Amino acid sequence: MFESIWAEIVGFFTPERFRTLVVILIAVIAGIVVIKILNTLTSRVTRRHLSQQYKMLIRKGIRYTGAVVLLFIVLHLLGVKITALLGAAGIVGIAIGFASQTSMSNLISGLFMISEKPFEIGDVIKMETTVGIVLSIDLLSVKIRTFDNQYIRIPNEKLLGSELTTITRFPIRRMDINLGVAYKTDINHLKSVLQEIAAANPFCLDEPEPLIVFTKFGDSALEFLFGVWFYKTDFLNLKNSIMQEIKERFDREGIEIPFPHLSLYSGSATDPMPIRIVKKPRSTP
Amino acid sequence: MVKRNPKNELWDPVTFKADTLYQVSFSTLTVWLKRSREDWYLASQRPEKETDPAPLHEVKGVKRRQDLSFSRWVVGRDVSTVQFVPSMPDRSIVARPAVPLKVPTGRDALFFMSIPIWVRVLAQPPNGITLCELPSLILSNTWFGEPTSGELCYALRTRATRSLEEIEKHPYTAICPVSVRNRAPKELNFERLCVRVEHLNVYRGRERLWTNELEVRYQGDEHSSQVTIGKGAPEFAENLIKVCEAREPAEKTILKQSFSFLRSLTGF
Repeated sequence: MFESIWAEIVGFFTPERFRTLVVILIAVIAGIVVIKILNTLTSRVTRRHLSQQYKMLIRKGIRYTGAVVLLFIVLHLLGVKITALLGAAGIVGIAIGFASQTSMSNLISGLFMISEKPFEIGDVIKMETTVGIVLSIDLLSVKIRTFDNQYIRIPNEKLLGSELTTITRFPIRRMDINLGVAYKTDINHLKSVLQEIAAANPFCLDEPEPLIVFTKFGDSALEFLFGVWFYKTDFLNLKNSIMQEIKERFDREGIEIPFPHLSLYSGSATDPMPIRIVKKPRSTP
Repeated sequence: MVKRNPKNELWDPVTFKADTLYQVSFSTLTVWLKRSREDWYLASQRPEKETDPAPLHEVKGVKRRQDLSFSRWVVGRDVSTVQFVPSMPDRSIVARPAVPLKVPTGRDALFFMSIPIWVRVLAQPPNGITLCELPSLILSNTWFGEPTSGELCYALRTRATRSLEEIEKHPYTAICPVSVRNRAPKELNFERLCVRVEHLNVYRGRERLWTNELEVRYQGDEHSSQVTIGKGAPEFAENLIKVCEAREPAEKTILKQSFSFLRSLTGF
């Protein structure tokens, strides 16, 4: 039996077939080398002029086009009629097109997004509740890495149809801190304390100046918005330091941060509810 | 007898013994140094209050301070000399006069600004290995330009003194003379000035550190101010020696939008 299989294999490799296989092998190797050279050359040419996603798009375009061309060359060398295959491919293409409407939608959304350029690789984006760093922008989806190191794939169609925030688009940002202080607090003193806190923190930008807004008379506190500007990479440094500094400074200055409380009145508008202290009855053994 | 000037001695190269703890004080910055056979150990601290400057000296009776966070540098066995070099900060500085200044049209004004230096730690010989750079004062960040496309700088409040005698002789500052020439048809509100310190050399004088002189020619809000960096040492002190080269070579004239005016940011 083994001998018959071996005879068939030897019979299959006629000198002509063997020559064709060698030619195919050479064509495949040469094709892969040409694709690699083309990719390297375009990477070098576009290194300074194009953004990361355009470079990636060009690289992928060259790779996929090269692979298709290589496939046709191999088929041609094998003696397959390309015209018939293309005709069949058209029919198959329509069928695949119907079956992959979502993919096509993502693809077109991807093209729109690449031309619109709402963010770049390395930007921090926020969509609904997801926040992360953009790893790649592909034709079908955008891949991001969240700060707790999870890999998330967002389809382009969803990105295009939703509200998207590019957090790191501009070099500086404002951190808004909502503060509540007791009603007895001297507002001018509070404002000067907040200004001093901002001035003493090296991560807080001197300019644009910090924003201090008296927002409302809250249920339990006077409410303020304290907005400090920072360079986009200093977010965590500023957040960690300024919150602690506010607490420590408020403690030193005697500025009370009240917790929600409720006053009960019994009839009269401002008189407190009368309280009678009753002695605890002695328990009998 | 020559009067000892600790501020001046701060910048001299010093050869120091192995396995002994040393300390140098730049008033607002204290550096601790220790050398083993091949490695150097370096730590820094910022005292809450300014201390007297003191050149590198042995801290007797102490082998190691547990409260300090040392970094270790592999420098080699033949390296036993340290030199502290005053250098300019690594980013531009936006100087704001404590009291806003106005320069009428056609007038010239000379100001002296004290710029906090950075201390570069060099291990020698042979050619000086830069171990690290330590800011003598931690300056706050600030933004110069539009919120969408500006430049990150350090903020500096300056008294912008008009005479040398008024400037305090701190070991951690270098004096930058700034000549402002108002060539605009209206008065110049000198609210802030972006000083490109990366183009400035540092010179060592008998008592003070100096930088090149700056000449700022203001031509109106619509035009860029013309900033010229003086060649060589300033003329306000004698026998100045260049101790630190500028981080970036200065072009003859830098056209930069050096003056900026208060801009209100609304909305939250």
